[in-house]
Amino acid sequence: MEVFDGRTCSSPAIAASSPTHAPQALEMLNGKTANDLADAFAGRLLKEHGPTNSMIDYAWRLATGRKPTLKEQTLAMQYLAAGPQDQKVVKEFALALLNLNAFLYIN
Amino acid sequence: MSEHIRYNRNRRDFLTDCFCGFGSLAFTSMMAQEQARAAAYNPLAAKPPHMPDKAKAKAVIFVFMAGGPSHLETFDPKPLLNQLHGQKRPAEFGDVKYQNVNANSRILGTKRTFKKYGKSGLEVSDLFPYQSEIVDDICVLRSMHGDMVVHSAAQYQMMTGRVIPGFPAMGSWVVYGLGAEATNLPAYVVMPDSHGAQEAGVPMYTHGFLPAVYQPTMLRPGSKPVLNLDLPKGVSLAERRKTLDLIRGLNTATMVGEDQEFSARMSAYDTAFKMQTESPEIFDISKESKETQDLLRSRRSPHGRLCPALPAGPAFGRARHAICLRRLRRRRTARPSGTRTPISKAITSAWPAGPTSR
Repeated sequence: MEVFDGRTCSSPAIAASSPTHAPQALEMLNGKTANDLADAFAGRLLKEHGPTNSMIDYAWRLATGRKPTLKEQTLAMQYLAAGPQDQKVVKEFALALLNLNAFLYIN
Repeated sequence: MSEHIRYNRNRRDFLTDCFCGFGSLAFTSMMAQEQARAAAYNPLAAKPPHMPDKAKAKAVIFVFMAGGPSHLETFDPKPLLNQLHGQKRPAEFGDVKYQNVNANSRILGTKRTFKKYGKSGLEVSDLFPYQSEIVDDICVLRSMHGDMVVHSAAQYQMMTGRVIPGFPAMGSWVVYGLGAEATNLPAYVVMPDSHGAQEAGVPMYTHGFLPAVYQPTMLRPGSKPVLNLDLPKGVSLAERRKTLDLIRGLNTATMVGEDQEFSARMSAYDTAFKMQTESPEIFDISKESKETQDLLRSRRSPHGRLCPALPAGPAFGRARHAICLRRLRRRRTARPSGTRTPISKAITSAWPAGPTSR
């Protein structure tokens, strides 16, 4: 958690920042936790919602609490065209959702 | 701006139109504020040094060798110490404040002999005979002193300026003050000893109370020096580029107006991607001369290879503030012959025309 300004006994919390920096992005893209979660997320999407359209809707409801906009839906469809039922493709798609501003930040 | 709340118009449209356009008068100052805000959101932007005409250093390599030979045996002769050898401490030296030393302890002189070398006439002990080749390129500080006699506290003081942990290390301060010139490489890297944890631990080299953006990037021993730099198994670079494009596309799709913080977030993802594609270059020593390669490989620790490679590595030449921290393995018995040749040779080999030439 240190890359996210999480504090340990040896480094006290006096100031914390909100901007993202590269090690945080690396953790969210390549880190084990993020990828394990994306894998599980993808598994759930494939299991519960087969057809691509409803899967995208479901994914957005789970990650952001709302329906995708038309533009988001289009981008997601284009991305998933590479393999809409392929666990590997859907996992990368799920990882992208976990890296969305809408998922990561409280506005 | 949030995608959860939909604004019909952005701030600028509102300002331009409100009060029959009177609001647009405030636009100029708003712009200035916006720019200041943008700068604040990139804490790693390169900043000019305080004395641009005098500042010459492009990188700092800080080698911390805990358990190394004493300054009294290497670069700091004290004739009085040898005169007082075997005697008790004179009363005018003041109270005894050293660990494991009491009023009855006797003074121990050194058996080393010192000689002046080079144009500077710097005194170096017979432990380091090869230093004479590079003595005019080195600067020895004899004015340092510590407030604590306990190792860990003294180490915190040396690295952070305070005897207690929790304060930012000098590498973090340098990045805070000067920013980073290279966007594809971390500005502050730490190479901990592969043989075990350091006595004073992590607070010696971390960012303390500064934001996490100033923390060091750890270069760990082994084939994967940077954490999370490798793509997950089975994902190709092209696939990952597509995923990053999707993230950017989706984030932009719901954005209304401008958002500087968002730009900073996206540039962090771009930097992360660049680090993945370009950083491996700096760990590649195959472009070095054979002599340099042999020297780098001759060291026992995997970091022994990396550490001298930093100033020599062409990619790292672009990074202005590379700080590396390394602790050599503590040796119970002094083995000067094991270190004296590689250190001076590694320096002359990495910088054939002197340390400030690259």
